[in-house]
Amino acid sequence: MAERQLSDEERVRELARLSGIRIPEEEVAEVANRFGSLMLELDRLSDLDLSDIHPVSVFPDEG
Amino acid sequence: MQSNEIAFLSAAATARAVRAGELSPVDAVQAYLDRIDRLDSRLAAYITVTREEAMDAAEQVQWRVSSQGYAGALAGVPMAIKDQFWTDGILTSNGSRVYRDFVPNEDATIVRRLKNAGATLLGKLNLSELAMGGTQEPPWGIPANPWDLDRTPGESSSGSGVALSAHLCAASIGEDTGGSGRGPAAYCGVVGLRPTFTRVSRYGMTHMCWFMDAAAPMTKTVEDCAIVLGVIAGRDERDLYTSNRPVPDYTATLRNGIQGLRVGLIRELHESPDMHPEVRASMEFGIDVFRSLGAEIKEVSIPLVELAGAIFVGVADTEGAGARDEILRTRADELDQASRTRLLSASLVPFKVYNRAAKARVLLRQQFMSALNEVDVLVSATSPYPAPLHTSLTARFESAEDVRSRFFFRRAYTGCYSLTALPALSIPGGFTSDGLPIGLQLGARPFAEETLFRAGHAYEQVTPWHTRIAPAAQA
Repeated sequence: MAERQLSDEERVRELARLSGIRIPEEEVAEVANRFGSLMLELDRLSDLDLSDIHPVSVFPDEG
Repeated sequence: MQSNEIAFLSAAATARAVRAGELSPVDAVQAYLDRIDRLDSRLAAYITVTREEAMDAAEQVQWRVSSQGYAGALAGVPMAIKDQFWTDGILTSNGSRVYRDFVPNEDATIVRRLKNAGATLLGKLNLSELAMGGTQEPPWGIPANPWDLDRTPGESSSGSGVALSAHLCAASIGEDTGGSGRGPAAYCGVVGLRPTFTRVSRYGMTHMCWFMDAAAPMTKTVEDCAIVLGVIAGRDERDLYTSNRPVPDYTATLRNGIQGLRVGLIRELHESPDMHPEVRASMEFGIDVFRSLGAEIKEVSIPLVELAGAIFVGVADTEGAGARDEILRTRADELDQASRTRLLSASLVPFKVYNRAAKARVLLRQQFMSALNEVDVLVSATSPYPAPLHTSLTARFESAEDVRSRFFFRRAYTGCYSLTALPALSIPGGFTSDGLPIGLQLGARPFAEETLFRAGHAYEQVTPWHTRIAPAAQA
């Protein structure tokens, strides 16, 4: 049987449960909108070749 | 000097008048306090007005000037600080009910340096909750844009933009994580600088995203901005990431002109189809001004900048959610609904997605540095549109597309410099036909603030935008 695709709201509820974070039921829809949009935007980075790049917090003091 | 003239002076002019004995610091403070009393009930720029402290400080400066020939760079300049920086014995609310009782027992380094330079502290300024943006019910009132009270003054250094635009302080320090200083500067028609990341101490600042937060001088003129940066910049042993580089006199080269300066218009930001046409026209006017002043103009491409809004939110909001984890778990009901949902959604982002955004940030930096090998200064709008209505910011998000258009798009314009740790300056760059300010943004290589000031000052001297007075400031 094919796995059912989770809706954004279901995904948010599941991630919140795993993280131990409580989301008020009346705010689940908005959190799901924001989260879904953020993931959609960040998905646009998937095509970038980042294989040789290391994430750094502070850049070298250059000028 | 007439009381009603004092508050319309620049910080530089105020300090010059005080040092020359032509203006009493006490009169300067009183002039601003009178305006705050008269205007701030509908502008909500201030969270706390420190009347007695300001008058005491002004009397001390007065005595030092008259008896010791004191010549501090900000002698007698009445300033106000975003309520995100610690102030000894004074509420530092961070715009949040969570911090409504937080009274630090020391000053942030920037506050201490301003006082040492002779500034008098009028009070602490309003901001959106936890310096994030989108607060629906700010506990200390909704800051109103002096150019149109129905519109936002920008976020999160809202009070700084309002107070400067309405002449309720002579200069301010905001904070800029992703444009929180430059955005309000643009919407309110004033000057805002995000310095190079390690240029100014962050000791005593409440953080949103530790490796992008920056103290942001906000002022009425570019010269004022140069003076304020000169006062607050430099090594601080209490912030080990501050640079050891000497702090130049930023005013020394201010009037050197821009003959031969290489100025590059960022193609991807300028050609965005969603940009407001009058903002685009103002940027083209600005380019013509730079050309007429002798600059060499070219167009540059920074392909990844279009995704800077998403990269910024992916990194900064996720970091912010991590930093606020305890509040989210134990005091979430005290947060504004918009802050809570924004932090909750960011707290769910998987690590591999965060990591990709963090790597994209480094790639974006490489692209900016490459562009800055071709030009000395980058130009774009500070925001692709003028100040929106309050209602458009506080409305709940209805769909993912709604979030994209209202949340990510604008953030690319300022967030790109935050992500890349480069200095950027927003200056008044024009007005829409219905009288709303437009911000013009200049960016440069690390530690090239002098170049930004020189270009910004040259532009300012031949344009009238910074001389206009907001309707709500005329009352």
